[in-house]
Amino acid sequence: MTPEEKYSVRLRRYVTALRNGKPDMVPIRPFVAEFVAKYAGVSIQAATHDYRVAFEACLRCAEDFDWDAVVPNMIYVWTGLVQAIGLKYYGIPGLDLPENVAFQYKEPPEENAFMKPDEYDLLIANPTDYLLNVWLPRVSHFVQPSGGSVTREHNLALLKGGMAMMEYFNALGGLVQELKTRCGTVAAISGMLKAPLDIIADKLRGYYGLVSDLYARREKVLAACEALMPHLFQIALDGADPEKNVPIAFWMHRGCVPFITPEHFRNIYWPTLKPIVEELWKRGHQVLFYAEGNWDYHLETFRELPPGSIVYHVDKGDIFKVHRVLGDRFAISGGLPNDLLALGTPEEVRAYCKRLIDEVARDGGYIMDAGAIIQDDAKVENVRAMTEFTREYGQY
Amino acid sequence: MSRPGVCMTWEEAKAYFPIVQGDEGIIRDVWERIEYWPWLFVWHVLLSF
Repeated sequence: MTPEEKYSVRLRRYVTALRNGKPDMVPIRPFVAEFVAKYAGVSIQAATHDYRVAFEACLRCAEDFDWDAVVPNMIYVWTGLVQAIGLKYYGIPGLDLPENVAFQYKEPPEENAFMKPDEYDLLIANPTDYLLNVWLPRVSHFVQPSGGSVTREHNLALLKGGMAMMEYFNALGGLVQELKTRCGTVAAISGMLKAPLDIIADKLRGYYGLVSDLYARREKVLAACEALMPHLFQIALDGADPEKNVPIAFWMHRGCVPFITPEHFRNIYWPTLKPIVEELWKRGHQVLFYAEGNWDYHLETFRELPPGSIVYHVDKGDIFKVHRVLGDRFAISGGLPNDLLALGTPEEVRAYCKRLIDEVARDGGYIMDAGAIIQDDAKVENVRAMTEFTREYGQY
Repeated sequence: MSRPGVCMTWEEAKAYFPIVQGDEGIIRDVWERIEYWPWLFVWHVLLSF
């Protein structure tokens, strides 16, 4: 088959499973991150800091493995851009970290959070203004606050950062095309979403700051989440697949029990997320719930969403329970433990894939993948075992 | 409440351009279309990088 023919077959297979249908065989869609660098024989520093190296490694994997879809560059932080803006919150391989350690997010201690507890009103009044004029100068070594002194570094950081981000997004578009025309592989996702409450914990108040605020200034937290909603919706919509085939990726962080209470989930997290997902679905876009960690406590809540509106990805949750609770409404992906890929044998990987196919994929609506993104700890022979076994055994 | 896709609205920017001799709609549309890029930049720094 030509790459174009392969692409057509794989797209049909992947989309059929995304819609909870039964394709010709179980689609394979591993979220390969630093694994691509390991496989291509390049350092993690090279792949993280020079996205062109990562792109080539991603293409090489897509050529060599029979995968239906991959994420166009799951080494998602281009640290060249991070350095240009002077962002303080990443450890960069080869700079702050050894050259073969993946980039790390460094959450500051609560007292040094990037957003102060008395700044909720500023954020609520105008989130974009707050980000540009208060938050960005605080997270950057170079960018100065509004009213501060303009420096050479400030001017350069904004110019370089803006231009470099355009360069990166344009290059990503090229990678998507090359995956299609050179490898016949589908870009697995398009666009991104995060929950308002997660944003506050991730990059603004920090997790400890947020949970303090949920008690000390609960109404402010809720109002801030509401103020973030239209922007998060717009970012998700603007990046979505215009063909409406592949889903928007929703990266789920610390918005679940036990990181927050059931009451906070019910009355703050969910009401400020659900309308975004529903509106995206009204416009024809599925959302991939990338449930990092374990979100099993909330499965019944997710049933409130319209059938087919999401695809539910399992990391540490009980995928067999997820299938029982959600399988009649939504497609499911993932569930293959990453520690098995890192520490297990090919025989153990094949046995787990068999169980997934027998118990979760039997009626369709399942996409083979690891629980979390696949980093350089995964053994090549185990990723190969996952791929080859699923192809052989996963025929309908 | 700020509008997605815009950092500085045309209403704010008009202070710097008090006289518009032609079609203000064209000026506003292009101003706000370009406004999209700094909005996208800062939100993607928050969300993606």
